[in-house]
Formats: sequence, C-alpha cells, structure tokens
Amino acid sequence: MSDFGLFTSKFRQSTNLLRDFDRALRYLKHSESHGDSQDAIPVGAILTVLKPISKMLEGNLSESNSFDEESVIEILYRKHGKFWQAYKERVIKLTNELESGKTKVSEDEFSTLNDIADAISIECATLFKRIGRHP
Amino acid sequence: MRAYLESIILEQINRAEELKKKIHYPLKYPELSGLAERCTLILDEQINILRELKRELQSRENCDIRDIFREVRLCIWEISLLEYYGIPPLYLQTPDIGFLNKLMFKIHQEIKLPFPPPTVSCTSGEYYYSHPFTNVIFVPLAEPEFLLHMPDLYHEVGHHVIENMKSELRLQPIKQNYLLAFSKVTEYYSRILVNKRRDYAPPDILMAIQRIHSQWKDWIEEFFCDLFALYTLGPAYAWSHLHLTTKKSNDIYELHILQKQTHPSDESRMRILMHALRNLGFAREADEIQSRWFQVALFWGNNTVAEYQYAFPDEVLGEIAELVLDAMRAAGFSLASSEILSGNGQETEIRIVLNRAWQKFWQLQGHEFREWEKSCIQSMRDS
Repeated sequence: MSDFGLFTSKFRQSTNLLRDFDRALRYLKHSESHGDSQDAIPVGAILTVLKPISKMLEGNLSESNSFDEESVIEILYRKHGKFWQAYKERVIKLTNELESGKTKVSEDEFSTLNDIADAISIECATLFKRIGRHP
Repeated sequence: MRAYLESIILEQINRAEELKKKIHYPLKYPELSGLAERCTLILDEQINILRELKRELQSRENCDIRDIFREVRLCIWEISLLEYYGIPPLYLQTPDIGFLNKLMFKIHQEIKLPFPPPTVSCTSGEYYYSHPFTNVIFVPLAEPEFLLHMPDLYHEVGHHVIENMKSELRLQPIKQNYLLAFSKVTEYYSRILVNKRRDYAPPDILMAIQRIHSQWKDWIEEFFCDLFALYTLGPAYAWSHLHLTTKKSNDIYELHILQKQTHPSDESRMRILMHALRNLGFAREADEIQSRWFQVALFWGNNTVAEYQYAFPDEVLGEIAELVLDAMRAAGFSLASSEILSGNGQETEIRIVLNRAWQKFWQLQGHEFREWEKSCIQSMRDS
C-alpha cells in the first residue's frame, strides 16, 4: 500500500476515535447539566485516548495504535505554549483519576478534554489534506 | 457561527443526495454491488448524522458548539472521501473494472477470505493502494493488461484483513497474533532502552530508539500485508517485491528517524519474505530469489545509517513471520504450497497463473513472454 493508503487508514481510525470521544463528552455534558448520575459515563472511550497520551507524556513507549498520539501531543504543545507543563500534569492527573474510577468531571477538566478532542480533529484534518493532495 | 454551521450542514446533505444519484443502476457487473451498497449506506448514515446535528444545534448557545463543529467536519470529510474513492468505479463501470472485480472475486474464493471481497478500480494516479473506508483497491490504469505486479493485489487484501479483524470473529487469531507481534516489538525496544540507559548512552541514541519503535506502528501493518500476500500466493509475491524495488526504490535501506516513514525499508521487507518462504517450505525458491536480490542490491551499495542496526532486527522479523503464519493457519486461510501451485488440475486458479507468470518471465525472451502474458490474460477475461 502506498503512503496514501496508510494515511487513509490512520484517518479512519482517528475519525472513529474522535466520534466516540465526542459522544462520550456529549454524554458527560448532558448528564452533568441534568444532574444525572455519572455512573454510566463511557469512560472507556475517553481513556482510549487519554492513556496513550499520558504514557508518552510520562516518557514511556506506548503500544496503542489507534491514533498518532505523538502528533496529537505536538498539537497540544503548540496550543498551550508556556503553560505546557501545567497542562501536561493536568492530563496525567485526570487520566490516573479516571482510571481509578473517578466519575465526576469539573468544568476545567471538561475543557482539558475538549482541547484534546480539538487536537485530534486537527490531526484528522492534516491526514485528510494528505489524502486530498493525492493525484 | 451557529447559522453558518447550519447552512454548511444543509449543503452537505444535498451533496450526499447528489452522490447517491451518481450510482448507475442496474449495475453492469454484479461484483460491484457490495460497493454500491456500502456507499449508499455510508451516505445515508452521514445524512442522518447531519440531520441529528442540525437538531442538536438548535438547543446550543453560540459558545457551546465546539463538538458539533468537529462532528460536522467529520461528516464533510467522509462524504468527500466517498466522492473521491467510492463513487467513481460505480459511475464509470468500465470493462476493465468488471474484469478486475471478477478476478478479485476468484482470489477471495481461492484463499478463503472470510469477508466480502474488496472492490478493485483501475483509476489509480500512482501505484497500488487501498481505501479501507470505501473498501476499494486502486491499481494503475494499464494494470489489467499485465501480470507481474498483480501479486500486489494480495498485499492490498492484507490491509482489508487488518481492517476487518476488529469485527470479524473468524479473524480473531489474526487479531491476537497481530497484537502479540507488536508486543514483541515493544518488548524488544524496551529491553534495548533499558540496556542503553544503563550504559549511559547519549540521548540521541535513546531518542532514535523511541522514534524507531514509534515507526513500527506503521511498519507492522506493512510487514503483515507482505506476509499475508506471500503465505496466500507463494513465491510470486517475493518476485514482485524484487521487481518493484528494482524499478522504483530510491534506497533499499531507507530509514528516517525524525520524519515519519510509513513503510519499512525494501531490504527488511525482502528479509521477512525470505523467512516466510522458508516457513512455507519454499527453500529452493527463497535461495533463487535471494540470489537475484543480492545482485540487484549492489546497485544501492550498503550505505546504511548507523541507526539501521536497531530498526529491523532479524530476530523480530523471524518471530513476526512465524506469528502471522500460525494465525493464518488458525483463521482457516488457504495457504500456498508446492502442491497447490503445481496445478493438480486447477490450472485456472489465479495464484497458479501468477506464479507461472514469474517462471515464464525468467524462462522466455521478452517478446515471447509478452505474447504468453497477453494470451493468458485473454483466457482469464474469457473464463
């Protein structure tokens, strides 16, 4: 397969991931605004994204192959600039808390997650551009 | 912004509706019905999502539409991809497209592919590539007239196997060993990292190893597809890799550390194919191909970058070749063997024809081979 095929495959994986992630965020927002119990938050979809990102932020090798976490981290890094260290720590902390069963997400944490979704969306757009440039 | 987003949603719904009209029914070739169904299904799905987003938009404030904006863009991209890479073969439906799809249907039966065959379209602007979203394999325009590179169809099918292994129960052994193979890769590089850190290796080396590990996330898929092609088709795939490398490779030891490299080096791909040929019992053929390869490789010399020693360790390649073979056996694929390729009355099997083409290529003079190839393709078209 040419590079095109791989970019298409990655694009598809990333768009599916973003869709699931956004659905989870919407669910989170909806249950928050309606004061519902958050027991059923689809944490899995959020952790699928957060875990590999955190793993890399902590300097480990990530085995995840569902999206390009390196590119997503780069996009987040560019966005947060001099506040990068604080943002990085927030992501790692949130990942650990969600992994250990946390079910409530604050407004700030929600914004942290929204930034990650935006970064994945930008990564999808980059991949789409690469596919579109194909003759 | 909300009103603008709403207009974009309406525009995209109209585009998806128009694309559905580009599928000409009744279809000329029944093999295209899977693609027609798939495209219609995806377009309808996107239309429904867009309608749902339009409804959701009504209940949102202008400052609270980040997620809807993201999702609308996803729909736009997916509709565009269908327009570029799904609808064209259905709109064109040329005799060459009909022939290639008949061929793919036969391959799918021969190798016992446990999901519907991908569609093939000879509208590629470059070499072979697959579009996993629409399930279409694109090949160059004149490809239906030649045999020597057709083995790459099997490699492309490998990409569809990976795509389907997530949901197809019969592909579970593939999924398990694919993940296991990548774990072996991670174990290998974690071990090297530990050793290098212990030896106070310079940070550049550590970074290179981390980057190489990250590149393996793409390389593993390419290696899998090479192995899939070789195990189902046999030596013809290794010959075709040699042929393509000879014609088009710029560096058989290609390795980039800082920039993304989606494919492993041609040298490492040939090495894993040699493991696979021997695993399958084609030792004589492996020796023959390897001997040709060494002659061809001289053209590039042996100027590898220092990090190349870490990139494609032979022990990992050997392990992956075995894991893929075990998985393919467990998943029930029909694998190539000397017995199958010798014919046994089934002379019309595509894999027999493609392996024979390579034997003829080495035996006959150029023009004689071309005559043989043309008559062979004609009988495939007529059958």
